[in-house]
Amino acid sequence: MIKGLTRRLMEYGLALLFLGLLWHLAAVTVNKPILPTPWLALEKFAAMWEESLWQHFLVSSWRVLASLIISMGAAVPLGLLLGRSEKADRLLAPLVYLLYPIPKSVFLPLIIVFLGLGDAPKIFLITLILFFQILVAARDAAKGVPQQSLYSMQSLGANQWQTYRHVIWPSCLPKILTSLRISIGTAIAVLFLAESFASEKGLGYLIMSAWGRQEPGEMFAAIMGMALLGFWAYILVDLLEKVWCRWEKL
Amino acid sequence: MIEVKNVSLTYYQENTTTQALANVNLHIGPKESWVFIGPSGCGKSSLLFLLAGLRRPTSGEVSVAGAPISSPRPQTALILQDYGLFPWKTVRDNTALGLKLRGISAREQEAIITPILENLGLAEHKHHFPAQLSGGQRQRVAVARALALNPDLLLMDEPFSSLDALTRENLQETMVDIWQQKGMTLITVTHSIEEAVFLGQKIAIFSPRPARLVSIVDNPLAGDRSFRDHPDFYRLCARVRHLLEEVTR
Ligand SMILES: Nc1ncnc2c1ncn2[C@@H]1O[C@H](COP(=O)(O)OP(=O)(O)OP(=O)(O)O)[C@@H](O)[C@H]1O
Ligand SMILES: [Mg+2]
Repeated sequence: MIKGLTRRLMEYGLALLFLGLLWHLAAVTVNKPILPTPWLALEKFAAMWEESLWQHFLVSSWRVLASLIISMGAAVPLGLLLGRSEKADRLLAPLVYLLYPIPKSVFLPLIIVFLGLGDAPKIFLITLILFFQILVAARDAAKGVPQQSLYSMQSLGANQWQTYRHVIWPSCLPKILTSLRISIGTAIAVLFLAESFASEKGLGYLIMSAWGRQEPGEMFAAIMGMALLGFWAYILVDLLEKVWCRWEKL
Repeated sequence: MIEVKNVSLTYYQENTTTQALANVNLHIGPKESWVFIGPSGCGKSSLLFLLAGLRRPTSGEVSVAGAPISSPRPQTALILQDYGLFPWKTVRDNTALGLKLRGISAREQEAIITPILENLGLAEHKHHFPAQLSGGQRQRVAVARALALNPDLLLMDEPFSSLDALTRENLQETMVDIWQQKGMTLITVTHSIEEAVFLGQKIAIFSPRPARLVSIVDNPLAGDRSFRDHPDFYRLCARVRHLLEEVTR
């Protein structure tokens, strides 16, 4: 366990070193202030973290985490229901198909008008986008539950709720977590958009404001913050998978 | 134990209809062991699902233990070939699932399943997941789960068809032991003629779809452990094969 962990850390350390090297080469080749070397960015990062970066990091992290939780909480039950109930699916599937492909970020101005400049509009927009991605994944996964499993459950005398709890939910969970992992990339991209648009807090705001003030060092420190944010989100999903889907990795 | 009267079953899908059963009549006594055999796709599983209360006949009547059946009955257990076990549950949780669904306390669950798991040689695998077991062990877990409910009727749909010959015969013997000990009614759907002759006191042979009951072969030696080495065993296998060839022709 400990040995495995040190090995993982070593692997990540190596990967980090490799990326740093690439970045360094690129910076040296380009040789313009807009692309600082990783060491300079790291220095800035350390200096800014103490000062205000940690606050922006926390604000952005909270926005992503809240969106992930809310969208999961709403999309998973609905998706499983649509996947299993033909009636519900016939009623709602057309709606989902019409709304899913619309780029939700175009509503950002409208959302800001109604929800202001704080956390709410960011969380709302990210949640809206993740909701549909997770909904579609959960629905398709639920459709794929083998009829035989359901017969087994029924013959054991299970009611609807028990069937969802013991069969449909666990059998769809790996696919839901995969969709969540894919969604994290989207979530952070949307976070950046929402925070850069009209905001006074968050990593997106920091990146844009540093850019405006022509402070590439600060900008890259904030970008590193974004990367860190994405990293912990992936780790979180990994952990959920380890705990909930132990049976899948045997 | 089971009365099947004039049962027909037709599946209606979007724009096709498939008749799976045509006028099946059966009388199955308590503690008997029956085997259903017939060409692939003829409707054997469909009939088993009717007996399990998972489907209703299009016409006719099915009653089990004196009562017409319209939903799964608590004392009936069903074992399916695949997907019957849940890969996300350990051997222990798979076995105790039926009890848990019925609201039986964890302590009582333990008291019921421990001897069953021991008998089936699964005690040391209690905390393993199905993926960590061999095919034969997995089907044993399915058997354990069925037995945990203390059924008086056990239905099995091709339970051992994905196992190698020796494991398969081994499990057939286990089933015979259980059937004789518990005195339950046992109905097995199979494609294997040897399995049919070893397990079935009555071997019901069905026609191609829609399944009709073509003949019932009496087999008083079924379940005798030494039966497999008996010349009668081969004679009966040959007879069943013959009957099957006739219906498919
Ligand atoms: N849910 C269903 N909807 C529509 N048709 C079905 C359904 N289940 C089974 N059928 C059809 O009914 C027929 C009988 O199926 P069934 O599964 O009972 O056959 P079987 O005798 O068990 O076959 P096998 O030996 O291959 O398992 C088949 O033609 C099958 O395609
Ligand atoms: Mg079948």
